[in-house]
Amino acid sequence: MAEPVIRIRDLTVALPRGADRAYAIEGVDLEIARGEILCVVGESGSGKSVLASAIMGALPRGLRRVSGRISFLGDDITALTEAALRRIRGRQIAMIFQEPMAALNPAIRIGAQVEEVFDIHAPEMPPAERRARVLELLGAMHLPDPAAIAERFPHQISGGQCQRIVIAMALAWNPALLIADEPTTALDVTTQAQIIRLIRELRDTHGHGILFVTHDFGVVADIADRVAVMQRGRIVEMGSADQVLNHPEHAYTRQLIASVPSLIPPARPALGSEVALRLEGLSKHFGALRAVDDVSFAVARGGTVAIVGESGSGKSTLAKSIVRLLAPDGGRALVDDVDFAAIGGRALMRRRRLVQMIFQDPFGSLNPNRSVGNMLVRAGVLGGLGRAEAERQAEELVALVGLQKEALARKPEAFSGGQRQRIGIARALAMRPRIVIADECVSALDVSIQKQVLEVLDRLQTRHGLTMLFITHDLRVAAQIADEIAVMQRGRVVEFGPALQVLMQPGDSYTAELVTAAPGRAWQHLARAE
Amino acid sequence: MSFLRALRRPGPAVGFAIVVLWLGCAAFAGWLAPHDPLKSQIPLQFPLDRAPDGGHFWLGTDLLGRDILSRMIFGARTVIVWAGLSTVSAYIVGIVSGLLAGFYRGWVDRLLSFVANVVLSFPVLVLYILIIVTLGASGLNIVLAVTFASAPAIFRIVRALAIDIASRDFVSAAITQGESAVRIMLVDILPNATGPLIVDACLRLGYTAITIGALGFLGLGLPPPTPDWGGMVNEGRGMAMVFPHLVVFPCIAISSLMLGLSLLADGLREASRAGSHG
Repeated sequence: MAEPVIRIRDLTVALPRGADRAYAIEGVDLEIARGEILCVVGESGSGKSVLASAIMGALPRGLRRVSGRISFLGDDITALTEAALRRIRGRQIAMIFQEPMAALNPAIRIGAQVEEVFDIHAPEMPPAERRARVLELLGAMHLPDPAAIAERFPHQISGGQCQRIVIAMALAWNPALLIADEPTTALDVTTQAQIIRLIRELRDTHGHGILFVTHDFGVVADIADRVAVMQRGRIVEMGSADQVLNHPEHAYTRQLIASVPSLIPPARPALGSEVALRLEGLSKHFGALRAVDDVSFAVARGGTVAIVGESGSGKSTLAKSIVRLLAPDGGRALVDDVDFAAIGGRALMRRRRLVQMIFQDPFGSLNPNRSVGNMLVRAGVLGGLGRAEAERQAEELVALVGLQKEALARKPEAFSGGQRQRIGIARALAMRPRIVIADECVSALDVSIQKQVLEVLDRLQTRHGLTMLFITHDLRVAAQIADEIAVMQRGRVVEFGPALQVLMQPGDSYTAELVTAAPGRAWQHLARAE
Repeated sequence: MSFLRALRRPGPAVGFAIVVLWLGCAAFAGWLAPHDPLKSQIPLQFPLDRAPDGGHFWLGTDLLGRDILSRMIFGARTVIVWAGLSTVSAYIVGIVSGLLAGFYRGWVDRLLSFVANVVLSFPVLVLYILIIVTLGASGLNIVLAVTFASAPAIFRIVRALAIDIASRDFVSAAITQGESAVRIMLVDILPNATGPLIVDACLRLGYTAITIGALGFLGLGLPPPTPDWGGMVNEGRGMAMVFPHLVVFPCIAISSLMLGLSLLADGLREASRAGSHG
């Protein structure tokens, strides 16, 4: 076998004292050959990003390499000085990050930023040649009209185009090793699919060794040659993509894969004909932008409608218009025959409890200064209960979402993301609402936690006969939770129908595009077929 | 927690010690002062000179024969009481208006911001002089003047913090629960803005102490014979070349209090930054 691009032996990185464990990564062994994509997959806190930065010799503050060798093309780079490392970094080992917008300087034109990469490592290159190289690179990224793009600023191009620019900069010196840390996580699915295709093509044409860090098994299925699964700093399983994805051996890998929601909707009980929420031509405009444009559909009592779409499609604006965090510009939103879009003042205040919301960010949706008990009791009181009743209800609710009674006395900082999200759910339920609108409420969570939260929601829905509007960009989540799916694009609902029908026989070309772009689609169809 | 952490570093610890020292002087002036601050004894004694009662004038006496150390100790009380009251009053106005503007936005924000900008566009000292000259020199008028001049700056800080905090989901959650606006502002917004406000309050207390000194120096401070650091400097400045102790010691008092508050504010700022990370 040829010399691998990188070979890591027994790499251990210590965390600062007081962390939840002693080592960020522990005894990691791996190697990557030329033209190979190794996916490192794991949940948050598993140490996968630390591994990436350890290879770059740029560990975050407070972290320290305790032992291990990192051989890059045969040379041990852990022994190199900072100056020697700098010559390798960016030129032979390059990195791309999660947030393409944050990786580019907003004040410098794209062309000039890419040129800078040549400037750092080859200041003697004549400007004309440098410019030609830049355009050639941008062309290789399949960017339309590279000359025009080079003249733009980062905010004038899309997120996907930004990520292509970042990849172009990383590949400028044709590095032997490319480290990609969640490079598609911040992108929409259709863009993600294009970037994945681009990375695979680059591997085939240039033979880069690629370390691809991700949390998403769908992405792994689409891109990996080999897979390493990390748990609490250790690689628990490593093997070919087929082996790990289709015949996992380690219990943790199995559990992770089982937590990935399937794209195929399960059979769901039939719903009654009673309508809990009816939208009729609901619209919300911001100046000339029609963020929500003439949206009409009905949600049956006890049913769940998933609203899916990419960023900017108007999903969140629709949610905010219904709960009246925003005032709609037109149309009706009927809750029990009361038009929520038309009322205001006291009439609205009195009815607010009927429609509650669960928010996306588990860290931003709870006031850090209030205890969980305080939040839940206050919500109960606002929902019309007496204080004693509200306290009793708060105790029931924490138990219902699977937390200990002691949780009531604690503040949000004492809880993990998944627990906070369950507190957010409890808070919404404390108002005893008829309708719950969940805005990307599992998107920030790891798959196993996501599964738990979805199960809690499902259980509560059956128990309380809740009607739910579930906003998500993730078709897998939608498939598992929804009776019906509404697909939004540019403020409009382009398709609405039963989940099975929308996902299996999409009637609209945009829906079809979304379904095709869902990562790991082929893998799970295969897995289910077995 | 973060307060104790702040005091682990030498700078903030020194600042805290200075502030506590002056607070102690203010609180226990009656016991600490060796002489009656208003009683005329022997004029223009130098530091360490003997006093008629057998003690010493540790820092000398002024033109009217009053003991300078005693006047400084009682002066601490004047400064701290009036600077404290003025700062609290400015904060109440600034916080209320800032919360209203930051939470409601729209015309409330435009109106309040306009008023704040108009006030801020005047040179502060000119504003003080105008107000005090118009209303007369008294403690209450100092509070009024400081409130009028400082509240707009506090308004701006609170407004910016409120706008940021109001955009977080927990505020949206409170709105969808039908929570009242007053409660949202007081329970959900204000407590999450205290970190930067405490740091600012510390610094502002120092500025106000200096302002009261400056007003005293200009003869617009508290009416005599109330001991007042700025007034002491003013009274002594004619003879400062011959009797430097008349002005040096009150000046040290003013600067040390300001220095103490600044060091303390620095420490608190660092601590609140560290706290927000961990």
